[in-house]
Amino acid sequence: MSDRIVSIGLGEFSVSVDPETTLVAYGLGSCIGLTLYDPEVGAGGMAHVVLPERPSNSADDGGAKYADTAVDRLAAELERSGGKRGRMVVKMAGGAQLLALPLNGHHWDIGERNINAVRKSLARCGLVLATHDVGGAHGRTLRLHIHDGRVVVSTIGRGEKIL
Amino acid sequence: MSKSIVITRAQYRGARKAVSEGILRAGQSLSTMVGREIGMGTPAIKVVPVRDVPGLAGGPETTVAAAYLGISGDISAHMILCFDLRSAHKLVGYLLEKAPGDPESLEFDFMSRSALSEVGNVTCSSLLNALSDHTGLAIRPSIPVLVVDMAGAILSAALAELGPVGDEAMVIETVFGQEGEAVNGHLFLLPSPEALATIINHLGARAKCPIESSR
Repeated sequence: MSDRIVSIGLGEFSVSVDPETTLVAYGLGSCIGLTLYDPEVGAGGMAHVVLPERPSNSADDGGAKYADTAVDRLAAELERSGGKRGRMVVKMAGGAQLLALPLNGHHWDIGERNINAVRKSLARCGLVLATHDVGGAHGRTLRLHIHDGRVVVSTIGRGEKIL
Repeated sequence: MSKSIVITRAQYRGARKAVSEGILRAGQSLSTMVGREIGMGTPAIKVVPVRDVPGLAGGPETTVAAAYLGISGDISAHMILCFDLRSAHKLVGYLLEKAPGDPESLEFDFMSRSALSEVGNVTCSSLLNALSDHTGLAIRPSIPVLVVDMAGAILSAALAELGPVGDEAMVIETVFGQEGEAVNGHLFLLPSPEALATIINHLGARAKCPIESSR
């Protein structure tokens, strides 16, 4: 089982109903990997969020790049595969601060801001966060196994855990 | 959609010249520092889709020891010099004149961390100085920070720090050491979109001057 790997790159999102598929966001740093899973229909989705909000002058549609639009997009896509918001199990990982360095005199902790922005978006979309593994100063890889909705976080030197 | 990055032929030539010179200087500084010849590959200046950047140093999950520098002044950018674990331990061995540590180990003691940071400092400064010479731009690197983690996590965090991310990023990439040699590293210069435009405009101006085109 679970041997079709779909890699979710920076700013991308994807939904699957195929029980042999595993959605993966490799090497999350300050980015957030967000997973939604509806156990009733066996459908799940993942978004790889890069930044908290879409700049107002941005010309591109952003995909799942920005937390303020990514959450609703992912949830809507999962609904198209039969998911219902009330049943969606929501998990997230990432939002670390790996590069603690002031640049031009000020520093933005993008990881922290991403975490907060995703939380806000979830609330706005009527979704409840079940569990998370966020913050700290280390990278993470996030996997969502579609056949049972298992979400696994792996790290370098800190082992692996099931969320 | 975001605009694609467009460079004229003259600007590209200018960029190549500055970068090649910088990499050459970086290789010399690094060789002097470690006390043996460290080969440098021909640098590649690439415009790549942002989604591919985290995979450029051997794959997004590859463990690397990376010296990271923030760049300010006329441009804002990030520089990252990363070595796979085995190479990082070898470099530390050369620098501190001791037997290399366990190539799988994630642990680097204080001295090893400062040695690797200094390698990052020397290498990045050489490239930045050359870039500054060719563009007339004031470019100031921060002190280096050493991070041991997944290459993808480090590179994507650096991209995110640059702010609104376009669809494409410009990456200056060079590989240290030839195949089979001791040290394998990747050097990245990730400019913000505005910094990229600034660098390109200044390089274009310089590349047209007769002294530079006579070579």
